Amino acid sequence: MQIPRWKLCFATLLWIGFSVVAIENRVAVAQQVDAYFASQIWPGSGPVIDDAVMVVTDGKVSQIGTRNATEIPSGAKRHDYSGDTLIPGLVVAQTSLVDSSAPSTLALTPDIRAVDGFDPFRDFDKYIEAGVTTVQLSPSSSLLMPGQGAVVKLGGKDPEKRVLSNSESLRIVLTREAMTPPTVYEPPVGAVSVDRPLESTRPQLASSFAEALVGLDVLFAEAKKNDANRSNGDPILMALSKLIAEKRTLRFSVENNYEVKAALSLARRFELPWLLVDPNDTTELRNVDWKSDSAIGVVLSPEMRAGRILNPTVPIPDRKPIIDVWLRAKALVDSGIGNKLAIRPPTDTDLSDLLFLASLFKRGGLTTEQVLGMITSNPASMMGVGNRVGSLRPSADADFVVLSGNPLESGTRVLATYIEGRSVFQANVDNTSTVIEASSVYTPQGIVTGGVAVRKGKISGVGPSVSSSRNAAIKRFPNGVIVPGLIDCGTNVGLGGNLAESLSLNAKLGDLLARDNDQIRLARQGGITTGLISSARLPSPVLAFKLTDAPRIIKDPVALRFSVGGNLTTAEDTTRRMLRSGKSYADAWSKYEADFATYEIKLKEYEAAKKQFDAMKAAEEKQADAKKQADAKAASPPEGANPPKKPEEAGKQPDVKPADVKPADVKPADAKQPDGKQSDSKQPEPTKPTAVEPKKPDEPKKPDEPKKPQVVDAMEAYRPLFAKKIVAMVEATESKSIELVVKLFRTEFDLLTAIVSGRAAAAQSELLAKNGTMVVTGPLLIGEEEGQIVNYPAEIAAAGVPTAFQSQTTTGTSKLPEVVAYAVYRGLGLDDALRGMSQGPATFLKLTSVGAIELGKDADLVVLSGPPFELSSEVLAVMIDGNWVYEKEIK
Amino acid sequence: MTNHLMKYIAAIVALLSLSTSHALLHADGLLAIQGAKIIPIVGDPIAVGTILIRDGKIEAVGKDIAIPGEAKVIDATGKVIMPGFVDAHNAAAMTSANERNEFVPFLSVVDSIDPVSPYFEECRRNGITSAAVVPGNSTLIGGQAAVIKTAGQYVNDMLLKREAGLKISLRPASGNRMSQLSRLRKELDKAKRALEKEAKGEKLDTSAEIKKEGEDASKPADKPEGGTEETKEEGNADRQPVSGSDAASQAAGLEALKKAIQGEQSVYIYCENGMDVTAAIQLVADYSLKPIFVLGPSCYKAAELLAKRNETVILDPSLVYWETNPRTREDKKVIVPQIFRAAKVPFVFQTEGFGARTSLGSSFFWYQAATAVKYGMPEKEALEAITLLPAKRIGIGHLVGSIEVGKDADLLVLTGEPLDISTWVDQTIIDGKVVYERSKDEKIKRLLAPVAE
Amino acid sequence: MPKTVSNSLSTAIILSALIILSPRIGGGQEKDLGNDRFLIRAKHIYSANGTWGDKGEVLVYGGKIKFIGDAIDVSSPITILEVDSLMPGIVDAYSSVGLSGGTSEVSREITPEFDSYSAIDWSSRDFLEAIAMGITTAQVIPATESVFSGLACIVKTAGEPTERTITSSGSAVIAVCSDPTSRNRARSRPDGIYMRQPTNRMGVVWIVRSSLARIRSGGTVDGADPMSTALLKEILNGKKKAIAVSRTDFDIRSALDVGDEFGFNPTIYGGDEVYRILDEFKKRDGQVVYTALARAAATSRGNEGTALRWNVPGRLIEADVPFCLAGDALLDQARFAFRFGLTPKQAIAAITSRPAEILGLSDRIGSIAIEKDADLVALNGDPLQPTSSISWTMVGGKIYGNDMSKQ
Repeated sequence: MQIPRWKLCFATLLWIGFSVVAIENRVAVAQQVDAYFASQIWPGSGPVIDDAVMVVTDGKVSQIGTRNATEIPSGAKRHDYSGDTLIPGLVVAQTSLVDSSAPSTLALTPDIRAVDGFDPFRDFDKYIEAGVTTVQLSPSSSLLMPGQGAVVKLGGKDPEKRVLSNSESLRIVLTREAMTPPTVYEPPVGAVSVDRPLESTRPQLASSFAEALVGLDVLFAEAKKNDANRSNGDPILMALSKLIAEKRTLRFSVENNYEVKAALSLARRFELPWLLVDPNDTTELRNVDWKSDSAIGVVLSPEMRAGRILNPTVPIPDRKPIIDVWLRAKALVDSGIGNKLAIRPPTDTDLSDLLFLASLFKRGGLTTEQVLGMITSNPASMMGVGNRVGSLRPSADADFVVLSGNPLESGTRVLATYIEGRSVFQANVDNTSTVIEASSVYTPQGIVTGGVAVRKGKISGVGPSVSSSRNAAIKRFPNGVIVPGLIDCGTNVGLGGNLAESLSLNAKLGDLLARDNDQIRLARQGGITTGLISSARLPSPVLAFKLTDAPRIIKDPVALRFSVGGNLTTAEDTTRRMLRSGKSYADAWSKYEADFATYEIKLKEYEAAKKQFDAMKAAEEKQADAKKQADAKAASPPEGANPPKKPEEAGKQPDVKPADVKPADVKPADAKQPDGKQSDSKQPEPTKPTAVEPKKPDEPKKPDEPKKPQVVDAMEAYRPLFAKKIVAMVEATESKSIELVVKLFRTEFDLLTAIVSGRAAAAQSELLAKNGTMVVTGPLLIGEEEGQIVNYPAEIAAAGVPTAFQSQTTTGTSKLPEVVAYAVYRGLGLDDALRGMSQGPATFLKLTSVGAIELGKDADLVVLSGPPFELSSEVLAVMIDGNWVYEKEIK
Repeated sequence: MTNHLMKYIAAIVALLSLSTSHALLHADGLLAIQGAKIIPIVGDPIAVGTILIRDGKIEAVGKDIAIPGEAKVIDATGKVIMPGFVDAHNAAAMTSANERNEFVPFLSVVDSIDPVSPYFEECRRNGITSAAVVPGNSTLIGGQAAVIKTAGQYVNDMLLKREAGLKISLRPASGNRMSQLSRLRKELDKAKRALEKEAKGEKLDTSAEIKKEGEDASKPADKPEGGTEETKEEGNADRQPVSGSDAASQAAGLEALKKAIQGEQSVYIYCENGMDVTAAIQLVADYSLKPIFVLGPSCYKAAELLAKRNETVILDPSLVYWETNPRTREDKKVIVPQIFRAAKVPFVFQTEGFGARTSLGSSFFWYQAATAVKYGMPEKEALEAITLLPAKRIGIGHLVGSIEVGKDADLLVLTGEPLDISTWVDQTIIDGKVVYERSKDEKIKRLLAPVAE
Repeated sequence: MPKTVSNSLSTAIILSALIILSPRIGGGQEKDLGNDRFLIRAKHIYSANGTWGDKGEVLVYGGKIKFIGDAIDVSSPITILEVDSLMPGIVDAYSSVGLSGGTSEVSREITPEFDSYSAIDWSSRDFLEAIAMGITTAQVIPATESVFSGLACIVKTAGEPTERTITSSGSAVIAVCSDPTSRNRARSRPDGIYMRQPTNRMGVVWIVRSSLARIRSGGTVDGADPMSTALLKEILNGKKKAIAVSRTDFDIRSALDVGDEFGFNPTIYGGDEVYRILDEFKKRDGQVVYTALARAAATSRGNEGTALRWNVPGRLIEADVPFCLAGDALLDQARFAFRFGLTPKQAIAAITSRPAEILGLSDRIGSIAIEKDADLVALNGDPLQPTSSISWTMVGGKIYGNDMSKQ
């Protein structure tokens, strides 16, 4: 007896697990190089790079540029985000993600540092998943001078290294909210002790705006006088003078014009760099010299919340109305603010919608590039961390976000977030649903622009904007063309070589299909997703299958393939005899089936009878059972005693049996099914009635059972054929034989007939058109008739006969479309060509699930770089049943 | 009424212990313990061995040691002997753990230690022979810790180190973490500046002396130290005029901080959670402190950070607890020692003060060690983490923590294997004196044979 | 995945495989080996009134223990588990597991019909913790801030809520202690809407006595609705078993007195100072669910400042008084009870078979015997050593890893 497989698997898995870990470690030690391919990279500053690649070395960007301009270092790990867009990790110019418990009521606390309130172990995933990687922290307080801001990363390997700046600015709040501190500060009454007498209560600044200004002015003047080292113990002055000495940025929260004025004058008077947050009036800023270093910039927030309604304030008559924020932004840009303008979400909760909210600013006519800069490179440089974050350029941290589409466009989702080259978020893509975005789609109704949505292997949407499930995988082919998966009506691929032995007509070719074979992989690269195979020795059944790794049988058989040729007189005779016998066999069966249907009904009645019978029987059983149970109790051993003593135990105690008794003689008794209730005793029950069947319920049964015709394997295949469930594919090379085929197959036996022929069919196209056949041509589509180039499919199609194509090769199947392309080049209508490789045969062969891009059909799709059957267009990707089976290599 | 009872018992036992120790004092200080299994912590256990003690120091350990005739012999056949437990951080010995005033670097726990408090009785009963008495976790800067032995008539008999380190707590005493840290920084900056000044204008060579005293910590280094402080205080008092507060104590506080900054003195830093650890590490870097990390339960998040420093940390008493992730609502069982072992951070245990306890028995060191063993720590490591490791951590590794020749004879005679639930401390020996004998322990008798009285 | 074992060699292989597995699969275990049949091979089985300490094998299916013996030869799909020590699932007679949304009624004193059962949050973390501590059955007792606190219920700690329930409406809990007074919010505001009696211990006993008396004399209790009345009746005519939460010796006495007056015999829960009146207690055939040890390892005082005693269980056993240990950290309690004087067997019994008896469930749980519920705890060593940990806990034939919460 062998060790159960699942255990082995488990063991190996573990082993693999370990070894993988080991490898990971080794890589980590060595220099880690990653290459990220994307169809677009917005570096944050500077124009967008199309078809771009970014190389990341040990968490830093080392190269960035277009794919063919950058050469990727050998051994670089490749990450394929082709179809996606990379942008820098978002940088937020002001948040209050700090421990804001028990805020002090002291109006002036310049010594407070927001960084001290930052918890690197807090769960910031919500924001990281929205693409935010770096934020400014402000001591959250509505008091005049809450303290110093900081800049930190929301994620990253090493908590220590996540602080980019621990004292980025000194925050001063000039808005109304700050003007209402307790007018008198009462220090907490702690223990009065020698070293700390009861602090005296003192009046506070900023009960009025004017007072606040004067106060600040005096304070700054005083602080400026005494340098940090000569401390006189006053924490406020100490901290403040230190900050002034270091020329720390003053971060003013302002609203109105006069607040802006005040802020500017204060900053200018003490020659300190300044930063304005949320000014709703920027007139004052018109004549700022943005070139100067002291002007750090302006931070605006969209005066809206994501998905919430805020009541707009009714403009006060004699005050000039507030200009929309995006216009303000535009104005500032026009006044040459350059890269000194940043956007922040109105509240911390809106951090997760920053991309959405930022797009509001495009209203003012700002470009995506500009707005993106305001949430990436601008804030970064304004806060003095531009060299590390905010833009993707060599030597900068590899903090970036992978988007499903253009930034600042609706429908764009964050697919992944990286911080210092390490993935900190990956959108869990459900691979059962995919959205393929392309320029145009070939549907039976014609060419539509847009893409195709795929769900669980079926086509779930077609059109310009298909809606998709939240985390559907999105694949972009900016100017790709989507056509249905193509059908090869006669290939040899899938069998691992040509098949030439004669098969009985009901041989199941499906069993011969080679799983996972390289020929198939190669064959489908041309766009063929469905193939028909048969033996070269005719007659032979024909199988339709998908070119998936493990070939999926669609219909077996889908047709029977005959050949009519040679000496036609004999051929006619033999073929007719063959068909006739086939027909009689089929008829016999169809009759039987009819009878059987009626029998079924009778059977129902019998069933009913049987039920009553069972019930009766069951009753008896129960009594017997009860009795058994009883002696079982008597017999069962005292706890701990060894069961083997009583062999008859085995009957009732399913799992316990004497060691000496062979499994064999117990197994029948104790039912092996895992759900082994005490059903083993009932087991015999169902068999019993059948045993006595003959005498009791036979009168409903016997007479009705219709006489089954003898099953002849060889003939079985004719039944579907004559039932018109499958097609007769008849090879006929001579035009005479074509006439014969039509006579026999169509006229006499009225079968669905597909002529497999080239030249002859072209010649007989008129005849065929009358008789509603399909023609399968190929691989040779173009021939010469007395010096004239003849395009067989074109001729046939011209006569209105549905055409299909076959390659009659193995891997060559991939080239069939090119052959057809040649035919198209030689005059075959593009539609006919495409239909002939998809919908045409699909419908004729009753392969209802394939052949067209329509809702509900199998997602067999081919993405081309251009129009189908243009030699210039190449296959970009092939999808079968919703899975990508081929994607063009990225170089 | 039970209250009085307790006091009464305490008194009795205190007296008991005293009398015994006196008795031994008068006998010439030669003591031999034989017949027991010896777990020396350093080196392999000795199946049956003898320990020879002279004048409170271990003179010889081994299989066959000749016992001088004059030696007093304790027959410990069938018993197990190991070094006394060392408690690296507790405030239970203090009459009250925390000052209400949150900034008191000038205080010393020595002044609040009551040698006859029931706490010490419990220590001897449960095998704790030396302990670092450190101010509580609710004071920003809580003053000077001291390292003591748990037996003695007067505090000075017990003292090993008078200035064993400054206690800093990052758990906000009032306000939030930002104000807590800014206050802390302010004070440290002050000290830093003072030092810089001294650097410029000569002065303060006293640091050298203090170092010397630091060396031979075995002797209680109190009086001379105090002396130097006086002089310094004068020195600073005028240099540091502080508005409306007692200059002397202020200066003393400053001195303490200066020592900490100069790295002459280690600093106990209490971190309540992960973010405190990062802050602490920053502080240590900014002010070049010599930290002893005292961790709260949720500090396991920062294990990786601490691993880099490779310093022995002091774990929170609650070693195993449950946690629910606020975002994913996922419950998980946090096994602190496991996490720190995985991160390769050396650690020692704390016990919980009698009373508030998260688990039955977490007030016993053997139980804490056993818990760690339960979750995969080798017994040898676990035992080291309650003896030698904490001893080293609090700077008395050269004196106690293992049974080695020349070390203090702080020994436990156990009735069985140290981590076995049914093992009791049979005798506790400190400096060669038997300070606890189970056979004479009235309290235990009463507890184990409950009767109405 | 089921497999058929037919000779010892292959068994050995499978075992080894399982041994390798068991630490890894943790909570996933019963999923991985998706079937409800287990053969547990234990080096030691500790069942207070069964196998003690020797090796043995336990056969489990259909949620029950089907067979116990050694060298059981199995010939059907079954999962074989190799463990060091196996003991019955722990039974906690005084638990608040899963009790959510406030555990006591502050507006009224007499709420006997409040049932803890309907307040149980089945997805509560408590259950995970209980499982991790080896507790498989728990009697949930409402908090004792009201004199007639409500109804207890008995539940398993794992499985489908429906299957978990053993008794949804169990014994009636009466607080004969100072809890209702000390926790009464009226303390702060005599004029508050919460102002209510009792405000002292006398008041507590008075309420018990008076309300029972009224009911007996056919009256009702003011403020108490018909349901309460009905319930109090049931206590009187013995339909409902009564639980008296009492800790000090005098509380215990009053509880028994009231019981005598009204002809029922409440089980004492708490019982810190029962040792003081042991002989009397014995005479009045009281039984006690002793919870003092849960706090008592090192503390000098228990609830309500009761004097600490360590070996009360020992005395109770001497006096042959029906008792069990209860409260949190039961396995640890047993360990300390052993440290303080019980024999190992007595210690284990005190958290398994004894509570089962007191709850009147010994036919289902509390020991390892044929046809009993398959509630088992497997440890990697001697259950009474603090160094041995629980490898898994089985409730109703389903295995829950010790750290089932770990993903």
